[in-house]
Amino acid sequence: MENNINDDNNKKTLILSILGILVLIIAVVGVSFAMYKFTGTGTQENVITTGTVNMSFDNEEGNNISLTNEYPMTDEYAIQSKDTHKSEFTITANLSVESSVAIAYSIGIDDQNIEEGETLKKEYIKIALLDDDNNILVGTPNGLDSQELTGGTLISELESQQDNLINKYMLAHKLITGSNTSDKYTLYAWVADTYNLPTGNDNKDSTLDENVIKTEEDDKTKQEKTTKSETFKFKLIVKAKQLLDEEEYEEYQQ
Amino acid sequence: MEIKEDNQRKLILSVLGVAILVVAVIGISFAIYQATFSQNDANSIQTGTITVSYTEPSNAISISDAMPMAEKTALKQDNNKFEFTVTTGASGSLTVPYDISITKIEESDNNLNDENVRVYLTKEDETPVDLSTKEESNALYKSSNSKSRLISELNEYSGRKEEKAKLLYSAQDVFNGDNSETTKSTKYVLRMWVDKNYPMDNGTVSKTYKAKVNVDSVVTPLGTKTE
Repeated sequence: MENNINDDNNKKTLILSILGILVLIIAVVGVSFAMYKFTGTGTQENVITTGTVNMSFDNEEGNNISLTNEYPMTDEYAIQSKDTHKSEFTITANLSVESSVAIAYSIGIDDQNIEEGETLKKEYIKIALLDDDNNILVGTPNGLDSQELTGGTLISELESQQDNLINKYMLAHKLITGSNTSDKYTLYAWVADTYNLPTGNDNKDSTLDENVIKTEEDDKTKQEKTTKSETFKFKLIVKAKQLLDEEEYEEYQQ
Repeated sequence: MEIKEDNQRKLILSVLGVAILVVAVIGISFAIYQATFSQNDANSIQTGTITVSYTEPSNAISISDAMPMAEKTALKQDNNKFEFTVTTGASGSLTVPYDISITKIEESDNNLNDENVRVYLTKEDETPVDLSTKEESNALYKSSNSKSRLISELNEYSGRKEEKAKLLYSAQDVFNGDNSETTKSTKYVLRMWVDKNYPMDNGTVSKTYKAKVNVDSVVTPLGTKTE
């Protein structure tokens, strides 16, 4: 009795599955089962040619930030000397159609490509990002809606910044709807004034100041303290995506 | 039994077929355009280095049976000199300041006072430096060419308040970061003697003045405003 019920159920499932497949096949190729056949060949070609999207991230060679022998500095000093701490890059988009396509892109720091020093961590590197109109995208403006940059933002403070494209260290995002756009950005980076230069000395003599090395030679005593050089590296990343529906579009416009 | 297994196979194949069709029909609508760009060269910040050293001779000034003397006489003596060297270094563009101070070592009650001992500091080329002098004492030297000061006339050194150090001289070495000169050495000569006004009465008990020289350097972040 039980076997019969199972067999019935299996049969039902099998029938439903076959029906499902048939419905889908008919949906896809169904027209081939027509009882009456007429063939009329149009003379006009209906043509659909796919559009093209061409985006690029141009950071000319040698235009990245490459600073050596840097010392910690106040925001004020960094901004006064910002031309020596900058990198310019351009994001260009060429869309073959203007109105119906929207591309969203986000700029961030590639968390896979952050290289910290032993002590020179992201808690000690400040950055600022400005667009071509001097709008401050990352950094501290001098008041609301001000275009005067007064400070940078520590990279560590950006770790939680995210959007739909970049889940960490998101710096800025933009929506492109025009056919040809070229957005220029300027990035500034410097060592924050909270960073203490580390010493390379492990030798600690309680009678001397911390990390001071004492040597005696030729009837002379020398006390010395030397700091150690460290490097912090990071790369920018740009992620772009076509928006598919109005909901997604509105989400990005907010 | 065989029919049952056959049915199950058919069911699995049917489900797979439906899934493949569904993916085939709606699958292509995902990610029409998506791109990721990354900077070719990393942004890189490398910190510079700072070095400060203080070198002093093992033998400090030691004068026995010292007598009070005038500056002119004291500057002709050889036994009242203490030579030391301050070396600074920076790999980048930086100003490295340093302070030279003097701390009295009080080992007994039988010490000379700061009012009884005079100091004079020159650089290697014998050019006397302007010693840090209290404002009220400065007035005394306005009409004088004297470059020596009583230790009591020196300013207190804020960097070593606890040990009541007196500031002798504040200097700074400027590095422009072009690798032409990454270290600078300055040799100083400190002279100490008993001031001519110290009363040497008959039967005066012999007294001592012991002091050590300190060099302190505090480099603040670029742009820090100092008071």
